[in-house]
Amino acid sequence: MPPTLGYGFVGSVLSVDLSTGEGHVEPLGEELTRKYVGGHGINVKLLYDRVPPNMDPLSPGSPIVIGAGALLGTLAPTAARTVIMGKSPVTGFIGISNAGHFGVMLKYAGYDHLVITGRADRPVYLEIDDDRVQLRDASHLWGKDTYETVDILWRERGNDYWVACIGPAGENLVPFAAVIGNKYAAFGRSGMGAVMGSKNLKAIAVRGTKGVRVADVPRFIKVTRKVLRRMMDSKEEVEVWRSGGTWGWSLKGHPFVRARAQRDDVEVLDPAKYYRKRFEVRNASCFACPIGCKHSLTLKEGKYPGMAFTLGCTSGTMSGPYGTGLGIVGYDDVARCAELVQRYGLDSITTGGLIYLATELYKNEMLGPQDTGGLHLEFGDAPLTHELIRQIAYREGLGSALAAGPVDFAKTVGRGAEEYVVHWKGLARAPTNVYHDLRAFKSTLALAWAVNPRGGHIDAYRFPWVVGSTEDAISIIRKWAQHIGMSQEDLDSVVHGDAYDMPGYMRFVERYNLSVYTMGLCDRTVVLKALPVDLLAELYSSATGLAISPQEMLIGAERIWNLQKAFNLRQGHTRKDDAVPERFFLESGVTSDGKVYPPLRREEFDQLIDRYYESHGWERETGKPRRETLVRLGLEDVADHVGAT
Amino acid sequence: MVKPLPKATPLVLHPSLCVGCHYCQVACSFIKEQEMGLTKSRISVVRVGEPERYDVFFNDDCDWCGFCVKFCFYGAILKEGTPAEKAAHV
Repeated sequence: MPPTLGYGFVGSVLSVDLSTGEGHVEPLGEELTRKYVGGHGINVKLLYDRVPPNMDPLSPGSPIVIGAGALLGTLAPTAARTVIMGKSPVTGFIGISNAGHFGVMLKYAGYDHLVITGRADRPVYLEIDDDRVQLRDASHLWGKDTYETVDILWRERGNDYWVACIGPAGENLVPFAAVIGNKYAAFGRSGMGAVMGSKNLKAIAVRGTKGVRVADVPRFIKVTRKVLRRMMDSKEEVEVWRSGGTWGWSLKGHPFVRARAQRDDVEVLDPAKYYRKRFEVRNASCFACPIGCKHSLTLKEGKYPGMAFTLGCTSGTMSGPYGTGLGIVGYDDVARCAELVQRYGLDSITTGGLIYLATELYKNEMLGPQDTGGLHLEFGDAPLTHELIRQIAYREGLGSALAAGPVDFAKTVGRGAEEYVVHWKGLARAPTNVYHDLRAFKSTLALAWAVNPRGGHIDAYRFPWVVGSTEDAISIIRKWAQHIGMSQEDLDSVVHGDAYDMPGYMRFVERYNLSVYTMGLCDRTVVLKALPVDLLAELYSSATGLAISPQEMLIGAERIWNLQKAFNLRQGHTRKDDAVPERFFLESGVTSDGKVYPPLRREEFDQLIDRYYESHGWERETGKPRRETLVRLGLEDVADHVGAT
Repeated sequence: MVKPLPKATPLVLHPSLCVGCHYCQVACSFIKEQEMGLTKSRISVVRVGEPERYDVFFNDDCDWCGFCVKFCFYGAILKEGTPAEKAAHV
């Protein structure tokens, strides 16, 4: 019997089969921690072992695997990150959705990971109350939105439960449906809400009364306080995140990319000016986080009396898709978009991008009133946008076609509409964000979207990102290299004089960020600045009692990264899926501040991918890891699965 | 009723500033019970309103050791008489 884990980790995996209504608990094997470190990493392995090639993501056999980061429940600052994984109904590749939420309660209930398989024959919710795990009838919850569902369960079961649930979108199997925790923590991307909906699983409600121990108390406390000090010493940056949320870094507004159908409004809205005029804004926070970048909004002035809700992400849920994206001006109207997508349980970024797409097509006369049920699509039309959000969630009117998602919707429109879609592996957004646009920025951030296993999103691969088109890219890299403890050897391998190997640099960035994710820590810049690799390894080692060096941690991350790639390969991923939107090759990027970025050249992009694959030890033609790479990482079985040579 | 340690500095609460991060609770249960969690904490953080409004109060067995103050970054728990606490009255 292998030793069980009892420090940092709580040492258990809970599995629930919704078809049989049975559950069981298994010890979390120490070998999993040795190879995959924790949290996100172990979660990938648990998922990989349960998803064969070509599995239908909405079939009963399709698993949902939920993981708490290794440090969740301890005093490690920001240790709240919880990941939900499955096969994505949006991309057909690995689905990864995360938020700072109920993984903490899973740990306190005694579980590091939760695996859900099968399909219930009627709506249910999963209630976890320490050792008491039950499937309860959810027929009175089915049809309710994600705020109503939580309110009812808090009333019925106690408001110390942490509840993650789906709304009408998930129930209606909208492929990009989200899971929303406690009315604000959005597990937004990859369509995990649709997977839950396909299982008739309305909600997961967790509470735990147990505790988490750490192995070496004095050492753990010492490194925790060191990290906290580093984090809070960046007073200015803390204030930026508190006052603006994920929007904070662009408090003065940032330029946006104009698309083919020009929007008539030009003003780049300054959230500090517009947003706080309408709302009383209070900070909300993830568990054990000293930053508190979330915003609780209560309407002071505007159209929606009594409006009050919390936003986990001001940028992705609100200002990005509906403010800058669709050009809606009144901030009560913009916030209403965010509230609706949360209530209905939709991926806000995809939804905003989808409405943007439909509007562009309409303005270019590729859609007409006969296609839209008589609606005249226009940018900045708040009531129209609210109605379209509702239609998408309920698959009504134009929403019934839109709910297929941007890629499939464009296919049904035809006549070149597919070129309009701004997506990476099918995960889409509006074209307005200039920092994700490889035409404008030759940066790890922009390239990351192309190679991100879950498709177009920033998460483990965004920070530290470099705005590659500016002259001080090298100094930014050097500064960040210091923050995160990048070794001189690693730095010298990517920086040469006044040039840097951007794809090669990404390899380090990916491994660093994945390490943060295995711990369950946050990846906002203000947090990462306080987390050089040596402190990360120290937090882990002192908490778990499992000694890990920074190098071993980064090798673990590389192993996880390759396993994610292998998962995708087994679902049919090829080199052509590491791609950017087609329109980037066809048209210039024109920004609202008057800059023009020429189209991306194919050979330029191909060379980036060539060098990216090469730096990872992957085959140039397919992106498949070479056998020697997988063997070096102890993944010989995976080499066999993907036919690596 | 808090049972203060001898010479303990009184602690002052501002629940309206509490964001519900529960960090104080994890710190308390750790320092008092050597286990990080919520239920063994001697300080309570309870959801009382929307959106994300909390009440925070000391349980009877709190002894004002002040460890929680080090882990509240929102000014909801302060030591009486400190500059931060005095500023909170302004």
